[in-house]
Amino acid sequence: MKSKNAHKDHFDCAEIEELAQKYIDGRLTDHEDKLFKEHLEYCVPCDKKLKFELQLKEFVQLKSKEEVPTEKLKRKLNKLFEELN
Amino acid sequence: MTEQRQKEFSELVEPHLSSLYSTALRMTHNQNDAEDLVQDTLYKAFRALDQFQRNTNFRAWVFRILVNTFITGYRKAVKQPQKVSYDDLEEFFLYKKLDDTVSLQESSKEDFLDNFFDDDVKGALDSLPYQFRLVVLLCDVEGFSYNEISKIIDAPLGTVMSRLYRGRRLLQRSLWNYAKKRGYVTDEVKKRS
Ligand SMILES: [Zn+2]
Repeated sequence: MKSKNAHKDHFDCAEIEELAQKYIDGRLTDHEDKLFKEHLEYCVPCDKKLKFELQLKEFVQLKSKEEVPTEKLKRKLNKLFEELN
Repeated sequence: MTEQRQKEFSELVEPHLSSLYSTALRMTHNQNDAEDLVQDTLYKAFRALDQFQRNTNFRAWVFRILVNTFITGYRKAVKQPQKVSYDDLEEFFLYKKLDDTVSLQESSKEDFLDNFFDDDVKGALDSLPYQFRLVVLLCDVEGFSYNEISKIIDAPLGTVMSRLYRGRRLLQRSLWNYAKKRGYVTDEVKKRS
């Protein structure tokens, strides 16, 4: 699929905002990624916003870690096998 | 034969038990249901093991079973948020809020997140409608790709993206509300000079 941004030679702040989530997830095309990074090099407000978004994504992953009852789950798994036999 | 099958299944599934349980817990909101949901998932996965094509993505395969089991068996019992408004949900919601409020200095925006306890974040996640919560969990917590999520939840890529992006903004708003409730920030808007 050809990107609608293939003909562009720069991104403005509105385009950065529009593509921010894809950038965060590494879903931009090579060309879009290049223009995106160029913009962040000269635009401090956008750069700060994107750094914050990336930090937030990491933060959510880190903070939602759970205490997992692994042994209990393994016992359930074994019990399951016994029942199935 | 059976023993070999069990051994194979255990080896496949054990590395993913904690991910399955964590996701189940965020989806059902309580430990007992989460354990039951994981158990039901394991049972179905083991019975369907012959349908699993070896050397393909077991993690995505077993998560798909988890999600389907949740939707058919558990979703109805889970309280959904009353009414969720999607107004004022702009991109960079949290950043812009922090930018606009009195209580934070420019320098502390990066440190703002340090205020939160794990339970705040879990509570914020739990407050999202389940369709959004699920996609945010699969992407941001479990690290699945858009394509994997599309298969896991059986929805087109466009749906995955719109739920993910909207879900993240809902999460940002929810975190903002926690921050206010906990007194990390106030809603008082800066006077622009
Ligand atoms: Zn900019």
